[in-house]
Amino acid sequence: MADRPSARGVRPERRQHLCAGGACARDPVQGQRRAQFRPGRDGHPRRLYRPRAVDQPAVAVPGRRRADGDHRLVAAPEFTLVIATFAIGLIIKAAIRLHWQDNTSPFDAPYAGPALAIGPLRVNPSYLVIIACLTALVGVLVTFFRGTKFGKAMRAVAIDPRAARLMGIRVESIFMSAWALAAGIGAVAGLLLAPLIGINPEIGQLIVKALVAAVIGGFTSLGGAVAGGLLLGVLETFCGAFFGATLKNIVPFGILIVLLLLKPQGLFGGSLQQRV
Amino acid sequence: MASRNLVMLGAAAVLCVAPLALGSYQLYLAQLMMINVIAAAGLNLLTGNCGQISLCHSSFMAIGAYASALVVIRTGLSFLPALAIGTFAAALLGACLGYPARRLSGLYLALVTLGFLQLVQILIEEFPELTGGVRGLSVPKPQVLGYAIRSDFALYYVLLGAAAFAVFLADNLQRSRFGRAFNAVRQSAFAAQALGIPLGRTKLVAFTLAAGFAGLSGGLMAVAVGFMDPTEFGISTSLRQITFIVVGGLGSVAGSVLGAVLLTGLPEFLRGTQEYADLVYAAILLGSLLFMPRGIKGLLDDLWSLRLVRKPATP
Repeated sequence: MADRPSARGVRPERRQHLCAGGACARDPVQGQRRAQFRPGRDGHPRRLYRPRAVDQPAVAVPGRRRADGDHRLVAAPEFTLVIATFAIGLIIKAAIRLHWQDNTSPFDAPYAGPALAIGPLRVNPSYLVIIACLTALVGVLVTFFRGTKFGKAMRAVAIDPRAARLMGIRVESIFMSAWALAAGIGAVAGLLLAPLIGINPEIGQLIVKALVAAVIGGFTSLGGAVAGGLLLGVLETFCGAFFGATLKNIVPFGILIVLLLLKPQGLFGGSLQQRV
Repeated sequence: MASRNLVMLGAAAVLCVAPLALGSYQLYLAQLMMINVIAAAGLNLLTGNCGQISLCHSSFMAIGAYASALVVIRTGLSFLPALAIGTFAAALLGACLGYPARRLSGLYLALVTLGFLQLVQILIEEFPELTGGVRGLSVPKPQVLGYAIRSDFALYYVLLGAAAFAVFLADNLQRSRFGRAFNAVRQSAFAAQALGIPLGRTKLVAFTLAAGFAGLSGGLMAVAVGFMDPTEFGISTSLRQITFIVVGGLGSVAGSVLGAVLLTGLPEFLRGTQEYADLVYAAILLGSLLFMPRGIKGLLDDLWSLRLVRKPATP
């Protein structure tokens, strides 16, 4: 694709350079050199200029055919991504089983201890640690997404990969960092959960409930995810207490199905747009 | 045309004679192959042709299996009408899921189907007096047209007939108006709409058909295995079915058959490495997704186009 002149007679990366205009002071001959992502005074990229027509997508957006020979998952269509993540999860779990079988082993946290009495309440210190970690993590993430260039680049890619690419953001490396970030946060959740229920290969089962929480809150909203998690936990516990264990188990999935069907963008998420 | 018919005839003859040469374990594997072929053919219509991700195909198998087994146990109907009822129940629930899910796609659809899968599993576990709960349910030997099917041989031929019927049906569906509409919806929903294809109704038909195929294979699986419990119809079974169609070839009946037969036969080649089974299946799925996105069918097509192998004439 790269060596073939496109319909407009300009090689795609050259055209991309032309489109991005003077924002990236590049040598017009060396099309490979990276554009600079220079935020303006308000922190936004200086030029939000989008070319009128870019007929070759700069990034393989989900659903499009990827270029031949590109085997990276970041460039794969959505079906491949969804199924591949399940496959990778299965591989990891199977690998764990090979060594540790299906046993649940205990995991002692350094902060475990007798319940603390706070006024009339008796609280397990683990829960306090979890709440503290959650607060700290949300704080760090908010700062990251609002305050740092990297976080902003990540948001830009989420909104429109092609436009982000034209602003000089390396979309693939952002995708990769996003996977790493998500995996790291997942690991923190696992570490916090392990002392409560013990370690076994299926500890990740909780992810289904985490997904429900994310759906309730809306995938695009960080605060929504927190609120969704709280709401889910409260609903589940109260349904269990009032209507029995059967309903407690059904509630999360009932909510998931009903909410995705009625309001797929979640309670706090922005509206989903679809372009032709 | 003639050579294709000859190939089909040869395959049919081999399949009819095969059980005489097989041991009891191989015969059991062959039965599972037939069952998986049916399920894969249905899933391929929905995922391969219509482009909808479904992680709850095994739930529809469970619905078909439990419905047909319970009809036999509770009402004493014979096997074939019970199987029809099970298939119909699965298709009906498939429509019930497909009606609201027709507006979703991609990740959201995957989530809804995952939720449905968990819901079905929990419901089976929570009503033990009806379904046997986590301890499972044993299924009586079937009666077909007044004859009790006791031997594995007889059951093999019943399953062979059902699989042949399902493949025939899927093949014809794929070339029908519906099949072409499925492909159009997958390739571009907007273009399909512009051509006058009712998007929602087409997806609904795909969901219903896929669930019906799964219900049929579930009902057959219940009698072939003779015992079922909810863990058998979990996410790993769904993923295995997706592996069948991805490895075989998305959107192709031949692909469903190839994938289901080869991967069901895989344990035979992996003897002594049982504990690696999950790992091997998942690795095959991942490798196939990354390096062979068109599956074995695509590979064969490539070989034929390179003229390394002579392609049988197609009609």
